[in-house]
Amino acid sequence: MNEFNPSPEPNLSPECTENARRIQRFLDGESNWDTPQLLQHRLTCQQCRTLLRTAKVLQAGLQNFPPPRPSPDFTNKVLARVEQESPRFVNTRSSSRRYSRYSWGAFAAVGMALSLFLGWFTFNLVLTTQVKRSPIPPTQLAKLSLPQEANTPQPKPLGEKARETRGLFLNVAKNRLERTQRQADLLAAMTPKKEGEEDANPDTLAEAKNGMNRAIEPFTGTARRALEFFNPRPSAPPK
Amino acid sequence: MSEDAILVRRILQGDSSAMRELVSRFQREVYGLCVRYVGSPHDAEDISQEVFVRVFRSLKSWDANRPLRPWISRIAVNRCRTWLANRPKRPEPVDFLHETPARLIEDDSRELVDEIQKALDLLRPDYRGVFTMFHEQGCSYDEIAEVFDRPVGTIKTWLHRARTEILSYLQNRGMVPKDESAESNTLQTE
Ligand SMILES: [Zn+2]
Repeated sequence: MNEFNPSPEPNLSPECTENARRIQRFLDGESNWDTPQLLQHRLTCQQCRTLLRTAKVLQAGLQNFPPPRPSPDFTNKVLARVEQESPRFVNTRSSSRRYSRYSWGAFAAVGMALSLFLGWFTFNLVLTTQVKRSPIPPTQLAKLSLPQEANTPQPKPLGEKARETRGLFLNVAKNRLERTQRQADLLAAMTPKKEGEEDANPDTLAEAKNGMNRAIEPFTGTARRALEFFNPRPSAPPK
Repeated sequence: MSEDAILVRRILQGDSSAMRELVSRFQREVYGLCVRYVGSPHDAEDISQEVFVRVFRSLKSWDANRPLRPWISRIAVNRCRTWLANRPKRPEPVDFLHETPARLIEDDSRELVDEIQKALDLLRPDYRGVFTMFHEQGCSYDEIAEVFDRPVGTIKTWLHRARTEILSYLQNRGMVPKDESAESNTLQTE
């Protein structure tokens, strides 16, 4: 360092140290008034007087400091580069690409939910039709029901049960879809090319890792790449 | 929802005009930080572009409850650090002031500004970054601490050292007027 180091140094008097400290506060832009002791000290201390004058020179110079400006077409250059390196951000039709990259699991979940829904719907429809076409009139049908003494709980009407089950499956599918989408989003954010962790928040990274292990099967190249990223093989070269 | 959060949501929904808006909003800060950090306007422009590519790529991980500016500045600082660590050799610092029209600065001030710039070039990159954020971009100690991921005390120490080195440089370069009036020797701000 040098003689103007604001941090206390053994060779600086307490007044010189205080002067340096106040000059830092002055440059911080804080209201800063001399104490009588400090004024008195500077009358006899050339070093502190010079330091103060230099601080004022610096402050004046900073007011004229021209802010650096990027080139006029900077924004266009950035967007062109984003399009080149991360096209899904610029291309409005990119959503299909994004889904094809990240959401096979989500599509599978939706497909499963739809099949189940259709299955239950058909089943329900067939049974309702059978009841309607039943040759036995409703009065006879009532006689065919289980005897009172069996006292078993009445089964819920099939329509309601089917609805309930359908809802349950849809719920599961929806949760899974959301979770998968969230993990895919995190993955997209967490696995940028090769450097990876550099800009990542450790908590988000841990969350992504954890969530991925639970929620995403290695359906896609991205997911496989991500798994390798989080669980590198021993043979992988060190970073 | 903050203005930043709305902008980010639009970007994530695929609105490319929002991307343009984000770049416009933060380009001066990002570029200003990069150019001070790496000392070369040409490299700073390239690094700044890369910063925005990374910003867009990581935007989903941004916490909407926190301000966007320090988050972006942090990416910029990280990119600059990586760039400095990987470059083969320190290039000659380019004086970007020469690219600024001279008439914008009064002749007598120009010399001073030039000398401050040279003093800055001699500082450690982290000191330059902190100095720039505080004195040029008006960031608080807390914001700078967040960007550099260091305690506020460390940031204060860095900034104080940066200033001390610049003050020392200016003295050695004879930029300090002679000891004339008592008035210039009082420490008063409004
Ligand atoms: Zn003194």
